[in-house]
Amino acid sequence: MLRPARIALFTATAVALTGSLAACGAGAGSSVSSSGAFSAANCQGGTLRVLDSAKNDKGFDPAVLYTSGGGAIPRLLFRTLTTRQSVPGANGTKVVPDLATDTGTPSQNATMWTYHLKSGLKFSDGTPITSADVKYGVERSFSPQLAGGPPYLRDWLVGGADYQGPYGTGAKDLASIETPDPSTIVFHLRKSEGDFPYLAAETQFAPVPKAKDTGKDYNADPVSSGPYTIAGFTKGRELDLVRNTHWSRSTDQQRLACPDRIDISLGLSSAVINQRLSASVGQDADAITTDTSLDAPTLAKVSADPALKQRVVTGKFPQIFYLAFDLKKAPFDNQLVREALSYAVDRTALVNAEGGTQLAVPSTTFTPESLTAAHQDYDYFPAGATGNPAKAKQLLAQAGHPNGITVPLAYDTDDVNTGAPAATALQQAFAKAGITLQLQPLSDANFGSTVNTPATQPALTLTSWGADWPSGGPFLTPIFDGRQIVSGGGNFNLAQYDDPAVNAQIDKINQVTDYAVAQKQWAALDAQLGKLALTVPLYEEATSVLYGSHVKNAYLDQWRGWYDIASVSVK
Amino acid sequence: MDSQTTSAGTGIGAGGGAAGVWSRLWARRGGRAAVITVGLLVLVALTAPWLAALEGQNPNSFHDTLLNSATGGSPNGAFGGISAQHWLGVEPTTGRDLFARLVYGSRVSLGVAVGATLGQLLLGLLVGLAAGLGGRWADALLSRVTDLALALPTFFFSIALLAVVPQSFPRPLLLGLILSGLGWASIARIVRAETRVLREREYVAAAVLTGAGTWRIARREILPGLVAPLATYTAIVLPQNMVAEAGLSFLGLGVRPPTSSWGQMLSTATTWFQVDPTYVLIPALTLLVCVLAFAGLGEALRVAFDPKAAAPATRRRGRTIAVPPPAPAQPGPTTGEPAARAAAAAVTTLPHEKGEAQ
Repeated sequence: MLRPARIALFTATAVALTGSLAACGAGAGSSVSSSGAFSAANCQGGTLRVLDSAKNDKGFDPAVLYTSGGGAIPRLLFRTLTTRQSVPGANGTKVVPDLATDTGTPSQNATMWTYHLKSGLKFSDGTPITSADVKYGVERSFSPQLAGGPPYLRDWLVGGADYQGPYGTGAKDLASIETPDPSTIVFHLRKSEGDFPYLAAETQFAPVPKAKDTGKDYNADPVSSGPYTIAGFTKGRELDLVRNTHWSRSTDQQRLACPDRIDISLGLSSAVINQRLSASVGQDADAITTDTSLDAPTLAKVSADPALKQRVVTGKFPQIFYLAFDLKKAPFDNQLVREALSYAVDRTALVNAEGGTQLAVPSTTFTPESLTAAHQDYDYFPAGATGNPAKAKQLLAQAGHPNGITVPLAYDTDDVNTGAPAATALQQAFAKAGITLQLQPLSDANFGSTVNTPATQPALTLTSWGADWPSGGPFLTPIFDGRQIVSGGGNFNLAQYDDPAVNAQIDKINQVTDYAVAQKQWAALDAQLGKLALTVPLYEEATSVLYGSHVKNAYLDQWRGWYDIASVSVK
Repeated sequence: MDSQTTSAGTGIGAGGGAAGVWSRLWARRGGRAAVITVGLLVLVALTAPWLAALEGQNPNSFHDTLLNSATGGSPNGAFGGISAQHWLGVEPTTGRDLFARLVYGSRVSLGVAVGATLGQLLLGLLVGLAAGLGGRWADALLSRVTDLALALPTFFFSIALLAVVPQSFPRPLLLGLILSGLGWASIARIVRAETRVLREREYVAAAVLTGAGTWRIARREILPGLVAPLATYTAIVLPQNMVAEAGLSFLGLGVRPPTSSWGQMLSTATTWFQVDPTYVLIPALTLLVCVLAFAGLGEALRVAFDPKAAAPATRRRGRTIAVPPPAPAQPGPTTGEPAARAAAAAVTTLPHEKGEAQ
């Protein structure tokens, strides 16, 4: 059901902030003296420049966007029932009220969620925001012509599976969303979902005024509920945002909205972005990027320059890069063989292939360390830093393969992370243990359709998984829940693992509405599944991003691992 | 290597015998340098495993300890980690030995270039001979096909084809096939033109009179006459193919990991040019030297096959033996191509004369 994180990375992503980040981000080499620390009360003014590689060809329709926690740019235009907390550090993974007065009141075993809207909320055209607008926004996302958002709503809402959206003659509204009065909205779910407040941070929960809805064309100039509104938009080239005069800080505790204008350049090459940010000349001193991190060579260059180094922030998006076995295919039906591969893996070579310790961190657990609340440390098949080929050989012999094995490894050639460098690193490490990997490169277009369809799935795949929100639920369920095996395509349970006991356990945790308690249980489930060697967790990625020398309060939020634009100042 | 003593007995081509061509080739300093460089490159490609063994490395072993993992995985030490164990340093982020990868890469780069050139020669010969010896219709049809093939944007076509063919197909073979399938047209043109000239010769007419078939005429009478232009042209096309292979590998459409080729090395190296310039310079310079050597060989071959067009400079060890001035070329209004060619030849030889005259 969830998408692998590499898709998420294109829309918007998440991360953790490492180290103590000074609020003021004035670079040492800056010619402009950005004196004084950052002050939220006095940060308004100026024009923030954003240099992005994404083209945003599809525009900004809140029904179509697939974001994590509301995304970067979309969050400037759309307010949602809940949102992520705008603070550096671990608290950035918390969900907080946005349009609503609280994060939701659960009842009936977390199958019914009630929200009340704050008073005084207005769209950019001055009309008040009502619960009917929120309901209409959710309903639109069910329309086939506005497909593209996350699949949870269809799965969770009563009647969601068959609902076709509010368009067309005879179209009805979705009965499982009730709006008893203009400030109250109630969602009826078909199963317990303690994580509902996290889903309510997605752009599908942004209000859309029915009178202004233009269907497919809404993406070019949506009605804003956030602090900015679109002044000019050329798809694939640029997007200019100006203040929404009807938005007020008094109803919004999560967006500082410091700059008066935000000018976004789209479709730039990542090399150009990093070059311009590191030079930080002229207007580029006021620039950040929402989607381009440092690659290994740029990082090597930055590391050697103390002035540049000050303008780099790092963070993590909870995402695991791992080896997926198909348990239905020999030799991986044998746990000894899976364990042998777990022992043979050389995580140091993999981390180096990714660009060194600043860009990747080895992980022996499926739920990575950056998903802090749902992480429990374990290492059942210790490979050490560079692998234990002797132990792997011994296990292979025990499994009846004294002369080693030859297996294919599928990987995505277009994915800079899980592409050829990582596959080659695995190949050379496995060779030492008598495991011959036949590399099977698949282009990005073919990768998803081949790997995520059980009929065509290779026995061994190098892939990654990230969470739509910081919780063990969306992290573990699609990978290990046997009921999530989809035969037609879009299957992420690559192990084809189906244990009724585990499925029941998942249902039980979904009923828990206390975040901390639920996460502890997800962590325990991960540690329990780890013993079966259903995957070989390899490493998690770190993001390092530059910002212009004049930019202040630039930090990576720990939910997505990217700049929180709503907090950045250029004054 | 005395150029005058060997007898020219084979009767091949316009140059007056293979030995004669060879001696004229060797006699020129440029030709000698080109022959030696190309010979060395071929030797390196053939002996790659032994060369790597001599260094004590293999092209696919990772060396974590030679990298600084904290700075993006760049090599430790100056000049990309050059040391007594790693003669040309190691690759960033993997620590694979660059010397071993370079010599192994020469096999792919040279192999694909040679294979593609042979394929182009074969196709070009077949089409050119058929057009040159065939009837009016065959000539017209094949010539138009050749024009069409010439007009194709070869590089973009290669990219499209490489992207479409399944990844399981052996990449070097595929590269060779695509490059030869798309690059035969200019050879076909040359072959056709030469064939049209040769078929008017008396000895060909005589062969026709004796009742020889077309195939036999093509093989026994025409083909020997084509050796000179084809040999020259081959040396010009080969480096082009080498660059094409490098270009396609550069775009990630070439060999599959962990195999190395010079283009693949360049491709991964470019992003590192600011941090680790050695890594970029090694494949770039190798490719440059190689292409220059083949280009030089082509030029030298052209001169060697056609001694009349070149200045009759017979040199040995830098000593000039009788350099008569080139035929005075005074292009008048009626002067055609031969005079122009002579003039060009005169110009190209001028610097040598100057240098040697003192």
